Amino acid sequence: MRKPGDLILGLGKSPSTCPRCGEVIERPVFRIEKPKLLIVEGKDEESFFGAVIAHLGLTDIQVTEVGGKRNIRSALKAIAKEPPFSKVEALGVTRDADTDPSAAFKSVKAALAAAGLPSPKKPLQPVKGIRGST
Amino acid sequence: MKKRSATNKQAQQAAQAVAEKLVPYRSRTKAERDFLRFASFEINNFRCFDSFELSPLSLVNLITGMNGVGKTAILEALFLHIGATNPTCALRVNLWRGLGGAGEWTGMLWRTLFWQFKTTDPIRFVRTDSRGNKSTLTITIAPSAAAVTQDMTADMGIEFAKDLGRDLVLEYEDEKGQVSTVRGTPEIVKKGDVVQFQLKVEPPVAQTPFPGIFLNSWRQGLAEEEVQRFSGLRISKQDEMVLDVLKRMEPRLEKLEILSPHGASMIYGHLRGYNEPVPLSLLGDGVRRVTSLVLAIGSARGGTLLVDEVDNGIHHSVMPSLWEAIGRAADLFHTQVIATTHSLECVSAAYEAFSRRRSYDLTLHRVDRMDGMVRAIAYDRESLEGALSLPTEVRG
Repeated sequence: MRKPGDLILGLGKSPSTCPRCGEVIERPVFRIEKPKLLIVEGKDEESFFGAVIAHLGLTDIQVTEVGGKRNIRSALKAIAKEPPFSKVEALGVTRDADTDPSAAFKSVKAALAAAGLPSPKKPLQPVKGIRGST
Repeated sequence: MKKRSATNKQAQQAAQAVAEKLVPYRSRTKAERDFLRFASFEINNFRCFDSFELSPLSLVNLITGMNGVGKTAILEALFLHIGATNPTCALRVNLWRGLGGAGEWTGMLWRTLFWQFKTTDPIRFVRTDSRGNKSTLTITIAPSAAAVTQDMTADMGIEFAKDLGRDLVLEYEDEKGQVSTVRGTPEIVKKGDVVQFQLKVEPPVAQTPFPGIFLNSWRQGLAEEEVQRFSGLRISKQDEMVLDVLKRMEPRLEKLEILSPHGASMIYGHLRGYNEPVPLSLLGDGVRRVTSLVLAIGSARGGTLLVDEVDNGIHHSVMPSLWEAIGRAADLFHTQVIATTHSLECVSAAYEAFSRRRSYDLTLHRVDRMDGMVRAIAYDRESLEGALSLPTEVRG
């Protein structure tokens, strides 16, 4: 399990210059860069979904791994607090069902609720609520 | 039987010894028993804020944000509310900003307090305490009731005379709905050849509603103030609690006392292995700084400590000890702490330190300017953990 402060690399987490103060940020920082976000468990999922999205020619989806299923809830709460989140049009969350798909789905629903976000009644069922979109 | 009796007696003596040792922790004042901290705070028409809210507030709070976004102004607003019946607090916050002298002579004495210098609208601060009670401070400018002595103002220039005719009026409505009004009247007093500025306060300030201390970025760690604070805690027999906190950072520390071998009074520490007491300032900036903060927390017992740039001059390796000390002292003295920082290491250390505590009583408030409006986003334990893990930019 990742600890706060650990360095990670992934889409939307590249070392960059702060757009507001000009500071060169050596550590990778997560930024919302695309209108659609897909939150995934780990690096394998990030690579897989990244490849699928590229294959489909989709360019408006940002895939972000959160370092394990246990981090989905805290990551969603943090991401929802990012000022650019108000401009996000769609949010997807994937999670390994493991041995209990129902419990896994409930866990994601609870994480979305904790972040103040709407959640669907069933898996793969879109729900409106983020800027009126799905 | 005799043997059991002796054992009981020993146990009683041991319990009594422990109880005596714990006396400082038990003897809480009425203010502490009734400790009501800020649960939320609203700011209207002050400095860079048209309208702003800080909520929810924990026992310890850390405010982050870009330069110029208003972090210091938030502390100033809290300070003015804490000293709600004392107009000189308004002068002090301007003085700390470097607006004191210049303001007095250029007609900016009060205007800089108001959002966009609009003195026509009142400044309003609303505190909601941990029981949901509200208390409101309203600040307005009103024509001075006192006559302006023309021959005194003649030398001062027309601009200055503008503010001589304006009082700062504080109207404070406490949580029971009782309203008190205090006026601060700027005056020029000529004593011999010396012309002095002063603020006449009417009626004189009896007691501010809440205990509180503001440590701004350049006033932190003034030896004279620390000696005064330690003396106050010693007199009220609470110095042991300060020692208790500091021992965790410097285990060799056995006792603190004030000595003045060369005239000026200083705080000295008795260290195990040393033949004579050592000035606290020689124990390193980390210990010195933590001592300064713990003394301020102790002196603001049952109230609020406001700290601007809490990480100022602190090496990152000392940050965890700093936050452990702040957390423990805030708990022991029932003092709410509200501090600002630019440092990610400071934020991480605070999170780590409070995660190890029995109760996580920390909130991070990231202040952002979005579409011309300034707003604060609060991070509880879980969201801060997520923000530090991803990591997002929690410094604003």
